[in-house]
Amino acid sequence: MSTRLAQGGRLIRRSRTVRFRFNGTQMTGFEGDTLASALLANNRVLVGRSFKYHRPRGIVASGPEEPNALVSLMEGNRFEPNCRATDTELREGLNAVSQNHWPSLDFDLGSVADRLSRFLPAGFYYKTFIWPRRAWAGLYEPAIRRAAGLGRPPRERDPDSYEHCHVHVDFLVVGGGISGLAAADRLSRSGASVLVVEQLARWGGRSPNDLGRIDGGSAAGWVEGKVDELSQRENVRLLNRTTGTGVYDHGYAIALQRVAGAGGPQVGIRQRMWRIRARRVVLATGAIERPVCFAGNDVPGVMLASAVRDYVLDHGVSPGDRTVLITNNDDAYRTAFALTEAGLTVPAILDVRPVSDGPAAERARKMGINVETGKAIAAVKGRSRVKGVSFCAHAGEGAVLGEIECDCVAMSGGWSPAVHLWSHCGGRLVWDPEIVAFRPDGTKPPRDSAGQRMVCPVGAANGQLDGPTALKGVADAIRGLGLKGVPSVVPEVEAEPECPVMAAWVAPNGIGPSGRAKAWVDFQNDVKVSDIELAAQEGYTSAEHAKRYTTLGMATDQGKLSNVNGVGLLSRTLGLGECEAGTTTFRPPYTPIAFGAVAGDAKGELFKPVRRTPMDEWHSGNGAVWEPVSDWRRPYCYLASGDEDVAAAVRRESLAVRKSVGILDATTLGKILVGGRDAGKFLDMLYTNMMSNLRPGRCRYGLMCNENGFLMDDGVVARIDDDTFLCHTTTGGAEHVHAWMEEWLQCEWWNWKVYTANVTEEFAQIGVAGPNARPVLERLSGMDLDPASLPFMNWASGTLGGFDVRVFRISFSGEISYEVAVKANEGLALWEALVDAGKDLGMQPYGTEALHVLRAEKGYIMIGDETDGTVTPQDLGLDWAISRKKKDFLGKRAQERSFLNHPDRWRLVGLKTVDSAAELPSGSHAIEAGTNQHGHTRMIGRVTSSYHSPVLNRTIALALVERGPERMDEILRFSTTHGVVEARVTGTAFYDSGGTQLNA
Amino acid sequence: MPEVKLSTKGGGFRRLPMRGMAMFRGDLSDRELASRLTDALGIELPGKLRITTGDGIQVAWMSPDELLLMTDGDAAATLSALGDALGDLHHLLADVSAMRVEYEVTGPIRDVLSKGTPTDVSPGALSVGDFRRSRIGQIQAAFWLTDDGTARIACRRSEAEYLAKWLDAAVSEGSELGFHHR
Repeated sequence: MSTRLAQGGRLIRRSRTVRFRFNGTQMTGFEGDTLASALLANNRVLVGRSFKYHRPRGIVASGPEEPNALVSLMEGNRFEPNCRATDTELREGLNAVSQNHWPSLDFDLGSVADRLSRFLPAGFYYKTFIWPRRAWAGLYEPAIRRAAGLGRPPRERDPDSYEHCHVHVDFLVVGGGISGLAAADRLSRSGASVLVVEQLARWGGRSPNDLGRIDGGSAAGWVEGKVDELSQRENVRLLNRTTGTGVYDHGYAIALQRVAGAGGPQVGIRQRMWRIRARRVVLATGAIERPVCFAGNDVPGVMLASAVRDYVLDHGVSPGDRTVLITNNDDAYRTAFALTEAGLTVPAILDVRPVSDGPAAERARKMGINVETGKAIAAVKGRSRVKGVSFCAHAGEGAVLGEIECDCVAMSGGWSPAVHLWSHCGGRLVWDPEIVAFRPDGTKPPRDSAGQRMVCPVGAANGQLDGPTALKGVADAIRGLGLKGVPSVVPEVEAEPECPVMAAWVAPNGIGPSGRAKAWVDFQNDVKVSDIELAAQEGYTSAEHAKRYTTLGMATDQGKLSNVNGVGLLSRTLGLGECEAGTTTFRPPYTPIAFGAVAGDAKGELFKPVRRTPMDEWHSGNGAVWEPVSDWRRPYCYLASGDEDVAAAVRRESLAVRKSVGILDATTLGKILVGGRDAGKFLDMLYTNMMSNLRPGRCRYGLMCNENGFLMDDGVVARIDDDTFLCHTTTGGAEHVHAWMEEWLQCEWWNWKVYTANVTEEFAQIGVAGPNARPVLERLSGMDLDPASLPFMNWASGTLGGFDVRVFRISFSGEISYEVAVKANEGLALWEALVDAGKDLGMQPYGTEALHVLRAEKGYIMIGDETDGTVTPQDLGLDWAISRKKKDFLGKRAQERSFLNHPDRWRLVGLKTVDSAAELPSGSHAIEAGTNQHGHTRMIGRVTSSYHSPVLNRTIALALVERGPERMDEILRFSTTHGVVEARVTGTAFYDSGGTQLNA
Repeated sequence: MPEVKLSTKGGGFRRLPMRGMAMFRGDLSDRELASRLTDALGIELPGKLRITTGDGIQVAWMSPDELLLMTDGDAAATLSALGDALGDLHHLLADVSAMRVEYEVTGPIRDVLSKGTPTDVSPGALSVGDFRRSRIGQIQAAFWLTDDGTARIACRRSEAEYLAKWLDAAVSEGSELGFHHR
């Protein structure tokens, strides 16, 4: 059984007991434990069920590379699935639940899949569930999804806070082991700024457990001293609990900091995403131990050799009383020493190498440990717990030579440099037969914009697996950067020579069919040796294809333990050279990132900036129902009382404008100042009609097209003086139109004397419209608004009720209408003054919907309703606004293309439904008998706007219809969600088509 | 919306009263124009990405052909003086006093700024006299330091509420960054 040892555990504080729960059972651990070490201390070895076959699974590793021990943490709104028990720090009240089983972890009905495993090989769903085709979506897929899968999504909103931050440093060092610390030390002595990120809470990586003395003292002491020293330096920042998750172009890197542990903070930030710009990234990410592929290597109690000694040395936890070690290298012998020194038993070291006579083997033999060379494991006894192993000759096919009773198996298939971040941005890998692993190819690094190497791998991440070589490599790598002030002395690490590792992709080498089907390569995605071999037999010769066919390395751990073994096996099966099948692609993030951290502060009130006008609070206090209009919020309508609904409000508001007067917040309309002696010439090019002959004091409605001749924006242009125009744009078009102007001025017409300024936010703009509009403004007094002085399409500046204003007499409703512009900070005061002035005339504030109704009654177009980027002014019957006198304007040439003049183009008409009350939704299509060339019902038009007109008491609509104006009085049939609606084609102006109201 | 917040650890902020602002556009590489501008303003023009401060006036570099003039009181006097001085030299002047709002941030200002902007705000890259147009969170903003412990952020007036709420979160207790300020 696994248990807490009486002594030892350099990371735990035995005086501090921590209580936690696992699957509802109360347990205790110590401060400094991980959830995994605490579970092992409580003899909880079985911690989850596998993805596909629901096999019982136990803890394999001791860090972020763990494939099996995924648990869900906490409950309710702090529930988080798929957390690795091995890097979850234990804390008081932690509540963990195992995943992937029903009804319970120990008795899981889903494990029937394991019995059926020979019917569920790699790619089984591509082959099996093809017939009948219909059953896939309704039956097979839901059933498979229920049975397979990891964890379940949280159901409640995450209450915690997350944030991003951006920092710029000379060097980012990823990894706080001895290589990372030594690199940071050297780099920072040059005066450069250095940020070191370490994924774990503790510094030093594997060195305290694996290395001899450094500079005459313990490795742990050296690490502590170095961390102290670095944290004193002004140019160094050390961040633990921070994972370097991705490296991107231009020295951009992302690191995720876990500010608070599971369960979230009481106050402040839970996780922080660091967005880092580094001149160079130094990778000191270490290496990851590989499992050995033998039959039964997934039985709980089979662990990585490094993990077994970590639990003993770091946490004082014994994973088992009797541990059999299987290895192809000398490093794993350290585990045997640690176990023996802790008073535990190592019945045998099964070393697959034919000979093992290095200092490690010698020491083991001296300690009385039985070293069996050339041996492998034939089978593991036990199903949910290791009970023993039978061993065999590694060279053979698995004939059992003997059995050993044990409750733990420590395995080591060698070490793979953690090259993920090197590969993220294009760094290539090279196979290194000496270490039997891929390492960064120094000749093909990720490069920056200047072609310089952007990423510098050091230490074990660079394939320098032993301490002395690693630190010498750090010194060499940093010398290569040519920095000044870097010391030449290299820390001295005591180390004994090690015998070479031997490639062993399966054990035993000639493993038979039943063994292959029980030898796991990828624990998390349940991929076996037999699956890889099947993929090879079925013609998958590239690692990338075999990966997708078998799902090898596609789980949340991205194959940290399995990729190299998988590639080794594939190459072996294909008869290629060692790992010649190549690697798969590593992609960010290195470990999964919570959605909350990706979103950062962009949630709740900060989800999206909302632009507010100066009168926003007034609208809020007066029943506004909001509508987003580009990034602004505008009142859609105002509910006058609690029992008024939206339709009634729109009706009331639009009738007020027709019968008396209404007031509109028009602040959001774009306002662009265009000045300079060529301003008129410039606007003549931008607008389809002539602007240069507009007189100061006058306004003109203009259309703007893009180079393809399609209508892009519209609005009223006012000439302020000889050299200055004020161009009004649509609300959503302000930024784009301004950028469009600047593009032409900066790139094409750079020598024209024109400057522009987007002054949208400088002014609040208030529309007052209706037969009583003039009296309302006159009550504020100060300006001559007599129609003779200020006729339609003129503007004047002056003082109105003490406010400095510009009054534009323009209309989007067909009524007498003024738009009053005032400094934005006086907008609310003027608004309130006008509301007061109009009170006894029944003036109503009106919103965007009434605005739309009013403009549709007049047949005025709306950009985005009547236009969609494929509509020309001619299509909309706006030929009158296209100058024939001008030699050129943007879009002119395009509009001369034959298809834009085709008589069959859909053109704007009005529609009156035959049943005046019928609803005719926007977007409805006009259909005709017959079919088109695709065999579809023939469509001859679509509704672009449709409203109930209160003043006409009927449905009115605008539509683009094939040869529309030629169809006057024709009755068209429209397909809608509630059946066919008939409507008569009319002109576009439904109300006061003569414009008598407008000019009054 | 939070207009003022003062905390001991994370920093504080307050919305500043409006002041005069004017937009100038013109060819700053034109010597004649630059010298008339300098004379009329009584202050050195800022170089690229810089801001200069004179008696009751600040001038910020917005782009190669745009300056932002910020004045104590309203901008009318500055605008008319500039208009007279520049005469018929090609330029554009606009009163934009109501267009932007300013917030003052105190405390660990570099840490607070680095939560919002991808620009380098480390002491070697941003000091008093520098001026940046970038973004804070999801909105466009300009910022500069008025002294080592005080920053100013200017944004569109329509987005003032977003900036206030963003600052409120950025300086909140438990979110101290400790990167630029230890």
